[in-house]
Amino acid sequence: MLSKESEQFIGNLRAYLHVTGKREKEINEIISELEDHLIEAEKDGKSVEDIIGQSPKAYMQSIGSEMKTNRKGMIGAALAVVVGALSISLMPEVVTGELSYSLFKIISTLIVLILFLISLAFSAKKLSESNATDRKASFMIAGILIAPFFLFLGLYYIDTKVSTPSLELTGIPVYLIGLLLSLFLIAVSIWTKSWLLILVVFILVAPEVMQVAFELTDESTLELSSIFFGLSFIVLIAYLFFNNKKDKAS
Amino acid sequence: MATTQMLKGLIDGCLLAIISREEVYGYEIAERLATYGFTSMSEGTIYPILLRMQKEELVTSKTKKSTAGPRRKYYYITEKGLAELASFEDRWNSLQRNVDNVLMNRKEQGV
Repeated sequence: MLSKESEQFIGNLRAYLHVTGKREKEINEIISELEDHLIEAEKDGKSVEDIIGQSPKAYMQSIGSEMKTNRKGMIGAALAVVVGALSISLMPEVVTGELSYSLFKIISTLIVLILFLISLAFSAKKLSESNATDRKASFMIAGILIAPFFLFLGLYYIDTKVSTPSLELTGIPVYLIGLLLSLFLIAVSIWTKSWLLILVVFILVAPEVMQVAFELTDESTLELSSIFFGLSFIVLIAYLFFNNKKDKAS
Repeated sequence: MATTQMLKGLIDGCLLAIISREEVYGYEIAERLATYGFTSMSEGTIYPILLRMQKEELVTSKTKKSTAGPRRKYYYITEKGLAELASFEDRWNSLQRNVDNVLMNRKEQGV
């Protein structure tokens, strides 16, 4: 029903408000109000420019500046990403009771993670302010999402080649880290009202736990892992499917 | 541009006056403004102002189904809003009087 220009403006505004940390409920309210306005205005033969003025960017900022910023939420989201990434990479090793990382690996991982968060936030804001087309925007976002994988691959390859002092932990400290991460995981899950992260970590950890508990060989652990991955894939698809249905229903 | 600058301080009061008369939603407010002659400003200007006036509790809003179609956000004036509107009227009347006096004086002197 809406013209292309209006659709694009609405999409950009939604993205802009999201990345500047406004609350979901308030975003939906103003978006549906403006959508409604644009529909009626277009019926009366007015253009987007008649509604929002010369500069979409200036208009978005004037809307955003009147809405509360959810700083706690933004910091929380960043923390959740970091804790999630740490849990996924550390937990499977925590249950074996041994943690061993080279200094190089620890520092480079932290740097990549921080760069990733900053570039994601920055480019998302810039993109939503500009009038980039959907395709261009999704290419950029995809690039930023994929880049860390290749960075990690490269870094871990270098890690096998260079020798830096390594940090080795066994016993109590490892279990303390495990306990801390678990508490964080539960807190994040309650806060986001989603058990997806815990599910992912559980799937990664469970085969390792069984290996330790039942003294399995590496081979049968690998088999267990693949069964778990298969199962989790099905669960994930089902989860997304039902969530999608719920969204449509409401 | 000059008109837009002049309007800045006045548009809040005009919105309050429109909302005080009956329940209205965004597009209706814009239409009313246009019929009263405010055609130089872009319609969307009202939304940041409405957001601010809600924060300041001068107006409240309720989302409900309209008779013909989608759910809409209707605006209502509050007690605080009515008080603000009354004070706006006083300020406007005296301002208008002062400006008129100045302009009239200019005419009388035949400048």
